[in-house]
Amino acid sequence: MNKESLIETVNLSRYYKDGKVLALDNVCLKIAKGEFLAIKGSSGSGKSTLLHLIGGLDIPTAGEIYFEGQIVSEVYKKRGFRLNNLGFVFQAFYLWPVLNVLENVLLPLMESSLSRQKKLQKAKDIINLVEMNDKISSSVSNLSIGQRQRVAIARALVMDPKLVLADEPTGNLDSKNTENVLSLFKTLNKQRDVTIVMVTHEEKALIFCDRWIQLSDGKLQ
Amino acid sequence: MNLLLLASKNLWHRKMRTCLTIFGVGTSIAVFVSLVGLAGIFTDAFRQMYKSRQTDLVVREKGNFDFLSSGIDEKYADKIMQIPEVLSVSKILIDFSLSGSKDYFLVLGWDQDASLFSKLRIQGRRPESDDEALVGATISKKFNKKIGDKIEVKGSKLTIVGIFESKSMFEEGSVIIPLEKLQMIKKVPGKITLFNIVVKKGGFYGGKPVNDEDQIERTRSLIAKMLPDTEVRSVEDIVSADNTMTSFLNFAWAISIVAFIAAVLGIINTMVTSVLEQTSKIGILLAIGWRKLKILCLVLYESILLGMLGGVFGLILGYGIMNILVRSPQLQNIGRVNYNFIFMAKVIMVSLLVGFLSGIYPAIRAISIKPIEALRYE
Repeated sequence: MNKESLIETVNLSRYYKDGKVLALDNVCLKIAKGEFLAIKGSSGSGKSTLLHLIGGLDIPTAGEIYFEGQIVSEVYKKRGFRLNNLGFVFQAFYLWPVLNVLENVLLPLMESSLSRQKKLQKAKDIINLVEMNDKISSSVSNLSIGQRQRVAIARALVMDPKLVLADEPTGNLDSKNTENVLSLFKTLNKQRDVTIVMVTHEEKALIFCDRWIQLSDGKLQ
Repeated sequence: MNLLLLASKNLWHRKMRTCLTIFGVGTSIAVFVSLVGLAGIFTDAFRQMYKSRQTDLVVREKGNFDFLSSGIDEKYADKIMQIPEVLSVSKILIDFSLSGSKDYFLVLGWDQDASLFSKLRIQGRRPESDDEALVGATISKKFNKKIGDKIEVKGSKLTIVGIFESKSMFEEGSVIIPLEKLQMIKKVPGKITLFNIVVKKGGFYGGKPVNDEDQIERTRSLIAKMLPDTEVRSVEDIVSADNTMTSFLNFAWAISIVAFIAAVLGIINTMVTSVLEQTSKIGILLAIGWRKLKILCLVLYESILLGMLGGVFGLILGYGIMNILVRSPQLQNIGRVNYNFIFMAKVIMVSLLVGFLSGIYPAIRAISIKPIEALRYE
């Protein structure tokens, strides 16, 4: 395993419906620390499945995934590991509509042992970074789609994770917001040295990334 | 931000459903509070009645389910008086009389020289002949009767010669007439419902001072031995073992249990719906590394909050219902609502328990959610 790799997948396969549907076929992939990687492919190509497997949200049928050389099925079980190392951004944001911007960003920190003051400071800093400080007390229900995705990004980054997994983060956005969010990802990737793995089907997103891979019928092209 | 705040905000977000659930739980709690509370008011009224008469022992017919139909020979009074520990024996005959088509009142038949009269504050005088009656202040107010007016007791028109106040609100809602007159009306000559016995206090036995409780117990045994066809009980015994009260209390508990089950089902329904609606939000919490225990606590906090708010609403509603009921003409101002803080605390504890128990199933459902499935839910 290359020491510079954050994630490595070895012969990764995932079958669904009792082995009748092959979603991912023998994928071997290395993702370097600090890399901004795009996974592209048509609908049903297996790109989200790969992302979910890397994030430990799903279990591979065969093969192995390593996080900094450690098998994820073991290391992700360690208390606080996911919280401190992984961040997620989804197309549908999954924000809590009952909470305001600050409270949504504070959600991951509720599991942290930091003092209340430090938690607040961290949340405010990250909200500032995604340029949402003027909406800090606004309910997320009152935000535009683009602003909601910025809050979701802030939530993903508030624990300073090593890896952010983004599943079609611009899927619900118009072209202007898409560009803004991708620029934000690029900035965060460079400023904070956070590794970003983004699933996308948009060609224009690729120019923001360091590298892209393509999946077709579950196979790495 | 903490879990409690998050749970509160979740409930606030679903205002209508939360309000309806609180209303449902509250109604169940109110049923419990008002029924059990009313049973307590009745019991207190009974206890107060005996206390106001300084009663130590009550003698009534043995094995009779309903004390109103108890009938013992009034001549037993002379036998009881022979026991040196007995200070006084009062004969009491009890009945109810209808006034009009729906109002009723308690009728007490007392001896004209009964020591019981000394415990009342009488305006006017006590009845001296068969056509006279002494009415309680509650009855006087309720039927707008003054001294000199006539009152109909089970078909007999009697002249009111006095209006009395008593420490017992139960007694104050009654009409006292001469014992013989009520025996005649009831067609039970020589029979009474019960003897009211006051025991001498500060006595000696075998040269040693005897405490009052022992003295009362000794007297109870002596009377029971002397009159084997009677039942001799202390006031606490008679209050707690009263069949009417016990039946009412059992009825109150039965209704309350059904109401509690309805409350539990109501909260379960609300919380399961809530968990289903929040599947994807719970999924993201699991994805970002929240422990399952925290998710469990979040759902439980919501259901416990629902239970607690329902409990508070139920207490307010229950005490409101009780206040209305005790003021109703049917209950004749039987007693005052007792704001017992220990009872209230117990009700809140029960409400919290209802909330907790109701939250278990939805909470288990929430932590059984797989993040990957949860995130595909929407």
